[in-house]
Amino acid sequence: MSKKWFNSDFNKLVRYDLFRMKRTKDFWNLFLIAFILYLVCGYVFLKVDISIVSKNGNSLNSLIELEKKENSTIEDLLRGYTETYEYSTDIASYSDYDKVKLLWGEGIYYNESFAVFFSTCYRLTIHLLMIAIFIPLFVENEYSVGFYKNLLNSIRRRYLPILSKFVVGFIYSLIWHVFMGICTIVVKLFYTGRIKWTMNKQCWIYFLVSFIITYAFVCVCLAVSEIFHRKSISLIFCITFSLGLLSLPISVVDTLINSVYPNSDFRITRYLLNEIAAKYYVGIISEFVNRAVVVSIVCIVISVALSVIINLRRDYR
Amino acid sequence: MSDFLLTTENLTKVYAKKVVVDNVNLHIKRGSIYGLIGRNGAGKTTFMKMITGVILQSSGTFNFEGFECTTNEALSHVGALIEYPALYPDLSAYDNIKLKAIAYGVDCDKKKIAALLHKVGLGDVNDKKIRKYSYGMRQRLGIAMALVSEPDFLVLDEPINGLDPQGIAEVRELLIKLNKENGITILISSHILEELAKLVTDYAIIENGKIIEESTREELQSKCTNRITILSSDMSKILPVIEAAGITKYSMTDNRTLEIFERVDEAGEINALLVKQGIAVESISVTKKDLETYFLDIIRGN
Repeated sequence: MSKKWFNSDFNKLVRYDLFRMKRTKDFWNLFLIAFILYLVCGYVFLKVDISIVSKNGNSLNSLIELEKKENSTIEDLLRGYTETYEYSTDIASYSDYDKVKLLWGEGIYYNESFAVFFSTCYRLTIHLLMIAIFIPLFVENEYSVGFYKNLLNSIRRRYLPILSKFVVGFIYSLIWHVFMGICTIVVKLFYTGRIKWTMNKQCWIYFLVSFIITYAFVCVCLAVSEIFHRKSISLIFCITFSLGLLSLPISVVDTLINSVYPNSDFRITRYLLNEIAAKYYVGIISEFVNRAVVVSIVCIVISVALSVIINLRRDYR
Repeated sequence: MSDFLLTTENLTKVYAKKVVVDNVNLHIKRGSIYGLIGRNGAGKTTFMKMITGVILQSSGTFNFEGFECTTNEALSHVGALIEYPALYPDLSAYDNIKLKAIAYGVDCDKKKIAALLHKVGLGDVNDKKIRKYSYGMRQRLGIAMALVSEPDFLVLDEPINGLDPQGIAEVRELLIKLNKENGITILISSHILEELAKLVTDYAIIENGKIIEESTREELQSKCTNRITILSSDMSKILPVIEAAGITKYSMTDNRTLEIFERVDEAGEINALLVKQGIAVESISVTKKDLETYFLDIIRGN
C-alpha cells in the first residue's frame, strides 16, 4: 500500500515540485531578502524605538540597571510612559488598531515577548510580499520553459499537476512561518540580547490562524498564476494584492455602497485577505479571528476549485 | 500482440472552429521509424501533441499497445521532444533529467544520468547550466530527456532543425542506433526531407490536417527513383527489346506507358534501339524525382 502510494502520480508530482522549488534560485534569494528586511524592521522597532525613549531622558543602560536593581522588567518600568500599552497584548481589539500603532516610539517592543513581537512588529506583510513574488515565478517558469508538456506527457489526469502545486504551496507556507519565527528570534537576540517565551492560548491561536491566512494567500497567488498563465499579469496582481494596493479601489466601492446605504455597516475591505493579514496580531478580538478563518477557507476553496476547473480542459499550446 | 504500436482512429482537433487535424487514421508499426511530412501549419505538431497527451483531441481516439488514450498506460511508454526541448535554463543537465525522472517516477541515479548524457554525446557537460548550451546541445539533451522513461515509442518533432551538418549526422546515427539496438519505434517530423529519407522506414504526408498518403520506404523510393518514361502503343514489342538489352527494373503503369528505373542516363541509346527495331515511340522522357519533388507534387495535387 505504502509503495503504491509512493509511486502514485500525485506523489510523484509533489516530489517533482518540491525538488524544483529547492533548485530554484528565487526560492533562496527571497529568503535572504526577507531576512535583510526583518533585520531592518527589527532595527527600527527595537533600536530606534528604545533610542526615542532614551532621548526622553531614559538611557537604555539606566533602564537595564533599574530592571536588575528593582527586580523588575523594562516592560514594567516603561509602563508609566504610556497609557495605551495594554492594547498591544491581551485586550487590544480591531477598532483599537490605530492606538496599537501609537506604541512605537515608547520603547515597548524592546522587552516584548516572542509571539507579540512576531505579530505586532512584523505582521504578515513581509512574507506575503515574498510569496507574491515567488509563486508567480515558480508557476510560470514551468509553462514558459515548456516543462509542463513533460508532465502532461506522463499524466492523463490533468488536475493532478495543479493540485500538487497547492500541496507544495502548503509546505511553502509552513517553511515561511518557521523561517519568520527563526528570524524573529535571531533579530530579537541580535538587537536586545534577550527573548521572552511567554506563550498563552492567544499566541497559539495567532500562529495557527496566521498560518491559515498565509496559506490562503499562497492559494490565491497560485490560482491567479494558473488561470492567467502570464508571468507579468500574475506578478503585478499578487504584488499589488500583498501590498494592499487593491484595497484602494475597493474602498472606493465601499464608499459608494455607504452613500447608497448610509445605515449599512458592510465593508468589502474587511473581507480582503491582505487587509486581514495586515491587521491581525496576538490578542485581537475573536470576531476578527473568526472572520480571518472564514475568509481564508473561502479563498482556499475558491482558488483550488477555479484552478482545477479552468485547467481541466485547457490545452497547452 | 498487434503489429502496430500506435493506431489512431479519426483523430481530430478543432481550434476555434478551425479543423487543424482532420480525422487522421495512422498506423505505426512496431520497430519502424515513421516520418511525418507536411508543410508548416499542416497539423504535424498538433497531431504529435495529441498522441503525447499535451493537448486533448476534439474527437477520435488513439490506441497505444492496446491501451486506450484515456489511460496513463497509453502515455507511460512514450518519450517526446515536441517543438523545442523543455529545459530549465538555470539548472544543469543532471538536474533537468533528475526532475523529469521524478515526475515520471523513474529511478534515475547519477550513473544512469551520466550514461544517458553519454548516449547523446553530452558526456562532458558536468554542472554547466543549460543557458550556456548551444542550440545543438539543447536538442541532444531534449532527446536524452525523452529517453528518461525508457520509452518504447519516441515522438520527435523537428529534432534536427538548427543543427549543423555534423550534428545532424550524429542525431541520425543516434536515432538509428536507438531503433536498431533498443527496438524503439520512432515518429519523426522534419523539413529536411533528404535527411528524413536516410532515416525513416515509413512515411505519411499530411496536408491541411489530413493524411493524404501513407507508404513504406520501398514504395516511396520506387515513386521517387529517377526513371525513363516511354509512351507507345507498341508495348508488346517494346518489352522483349528492353529485356534483350539487359534491362530488368521496369514497370508498366498502363498499357501505353512503361517506366524504366535503370540506365536512366542512357535514354538516347534506348530510344535509338527501339527505333532501330521499328517500334513507334510517341515520347520518351527522363524524370528526376527526389523526395522533395515528390512531396511538392503531392501537396500540389499532382
